[in-house]
Amino acid sequence: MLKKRDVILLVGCCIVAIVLFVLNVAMGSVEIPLIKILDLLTGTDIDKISTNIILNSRVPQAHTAILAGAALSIGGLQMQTLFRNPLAGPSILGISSGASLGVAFVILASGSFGGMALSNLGVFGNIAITMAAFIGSISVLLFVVFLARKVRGNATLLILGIMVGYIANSVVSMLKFYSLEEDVHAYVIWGLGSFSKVSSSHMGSFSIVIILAIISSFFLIKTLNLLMLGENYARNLGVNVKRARLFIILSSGILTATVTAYCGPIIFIGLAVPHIARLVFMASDHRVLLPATALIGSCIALFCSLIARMPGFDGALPINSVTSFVGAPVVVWVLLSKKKSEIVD
Amino acid sequence: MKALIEIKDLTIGYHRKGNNNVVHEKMNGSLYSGELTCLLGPNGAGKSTLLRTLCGFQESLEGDVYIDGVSLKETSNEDLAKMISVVLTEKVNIQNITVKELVSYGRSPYTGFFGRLSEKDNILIDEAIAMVGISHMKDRMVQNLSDGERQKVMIAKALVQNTPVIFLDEPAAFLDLPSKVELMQLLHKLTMETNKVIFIVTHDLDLALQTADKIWLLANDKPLQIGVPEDLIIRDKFKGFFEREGVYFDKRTGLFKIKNKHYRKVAVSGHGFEYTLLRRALSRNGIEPVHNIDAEISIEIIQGEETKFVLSYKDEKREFTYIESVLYCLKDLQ
Repeated sequence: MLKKRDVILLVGCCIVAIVLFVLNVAMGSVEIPLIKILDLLTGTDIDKISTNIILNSRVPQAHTAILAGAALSIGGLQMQTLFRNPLAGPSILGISSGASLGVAFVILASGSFGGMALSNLGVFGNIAITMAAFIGSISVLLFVVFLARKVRGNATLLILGIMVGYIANSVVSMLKFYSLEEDVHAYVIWGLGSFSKVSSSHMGSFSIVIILAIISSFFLIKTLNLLMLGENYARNLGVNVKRARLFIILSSGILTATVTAYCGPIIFIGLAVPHIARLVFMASDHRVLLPATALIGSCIALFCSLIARMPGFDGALPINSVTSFVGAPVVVWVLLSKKKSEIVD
Repeated sequence: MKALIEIKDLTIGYHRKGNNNVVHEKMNGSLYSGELTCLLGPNGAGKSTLLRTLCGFQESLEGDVYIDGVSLKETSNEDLAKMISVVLTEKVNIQNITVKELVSYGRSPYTGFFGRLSEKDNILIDEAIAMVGISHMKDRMVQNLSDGERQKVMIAKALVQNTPVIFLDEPAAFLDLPSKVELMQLLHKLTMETNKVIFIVTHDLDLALQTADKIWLLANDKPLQIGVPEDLIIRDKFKGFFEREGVYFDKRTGLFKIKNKHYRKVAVSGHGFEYTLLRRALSRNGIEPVHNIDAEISIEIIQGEETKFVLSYKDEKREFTYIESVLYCLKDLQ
């Protein structure tokens, strides 16, 4: 069960997350003094522009980062445990490729074949893109679930999932080839990911889906622990392996599909955070790892979002360029700072 | 005596489209509490398939397995987890898991939704760890253990599962000889102390013959043979199962021996341990040791403070203190 050290570390992660959230709200390309933010919190009226920036841009963005970071990290942890493969991530089964395909159809095909560039449609375009991404990723998810019921081995399923991803990507590149330049540009921008696309009006639905999915992922903790021992040991301990696999794919898939629909395909976080959690907590028990992964995921996403909007960067850097650039050195540092005896492959 | 596990007309194999791939058919047998049973057989005889079928990992093609009178097909996964525990060949490869944590997963058929351990669970876990003799390393990380220690962890996991039956698939496969012997002794001790059915798939024939209460012999195209090891030896059952070119079963010792081809004969006289060893060395080198004094070369063993081997060839005599020198001399005389 939770050891004292684990509790202290988890509380530490919460504090870091809160500090990063405040920094995210306080910092940005427009300078707003902390006092103004405190005034806003206590209900004192401040100028309209600052209120607008804080409530409609910075808070939703930080909010999105927290949820997306936690969701993707949990999705990655589930895939790594299910496939017992450290290189698995939340998009390993082609779910984000499905989202890309959906978005490519909407952005690229509508421009080339429908005669109107969706990239110019503004708000309506954003909703259409979210819908398309969601439909694309859920279709792939359902297809993978269908395959999971058919095939026995996990390795086979993993390869099939990767193949589905390749097919989706090849269709995307065909669409790109025949598309208008500005549409391709819009598609590329979407592919770079962003925490700022969830508008206040969608925040509710986004939050509810993600929070429900995260809560339900906690119901799979015992199953995940037993699956670590290998399929046969898990079965011998009473796990219905096929059903467990289905639930894990669904849970991870819904988390990933929802985040990808609203934020674009965010790379790296889902793959790296479970490793950071394992190294920091020195644990394998998912009762520790799952909350740890969620919290560290939120922290890393907030940190990346902060870096992306550092004063001096005009506007915001694409989030994907920051996640890898910031995250990869973190992983390397954590790995190297561990004593040799603690790293056993 | 009532059998805890019974197999009736069991046909094992794999479902294929069209026709089934039958590995072995019409097997009958029983496993009894408090008995250590070893399943022996050459590679490819279907030992692992039989074990997988007994564990419920795969369905039988025909016939059925009965646990305490209940058909395996009618037993749910959850109930089976409380009847049968397994130790498999696959290596458990988890980072950052302590011995105690890994053993504790054996309690999961009894724990609640989040796998929380009760006080009683903790006591059982400590007991099982003590039984396999690894109490001093219960807080160590599994990744830093040797293969033999890991196997003991997995056996402790099977013990806390608290099942009347434990199946082990080649538990000694990765171990060196002393660890193998230790493991078999441990399993023998556990069988007696816990009165469980312990069923082991193994390749170590001589160890199995020395420790098992019952032997199951499985080979292609032969009916399953079951019996006490000594009965099987008396009835020469092993002969047909393992013998092939260059290997024969020595009924006297109950061991398989390598059949050496002999090209020459040398008379050997003497007695004692050195005598046996010299004969063995000669035999390995293609020389048949005989009693007959007419042989061209003879070797006499003289025991004293230091054993001497006296080799006579025609009228010449030479003394050696090492068998190695004897062998080189014999090569020169060829």
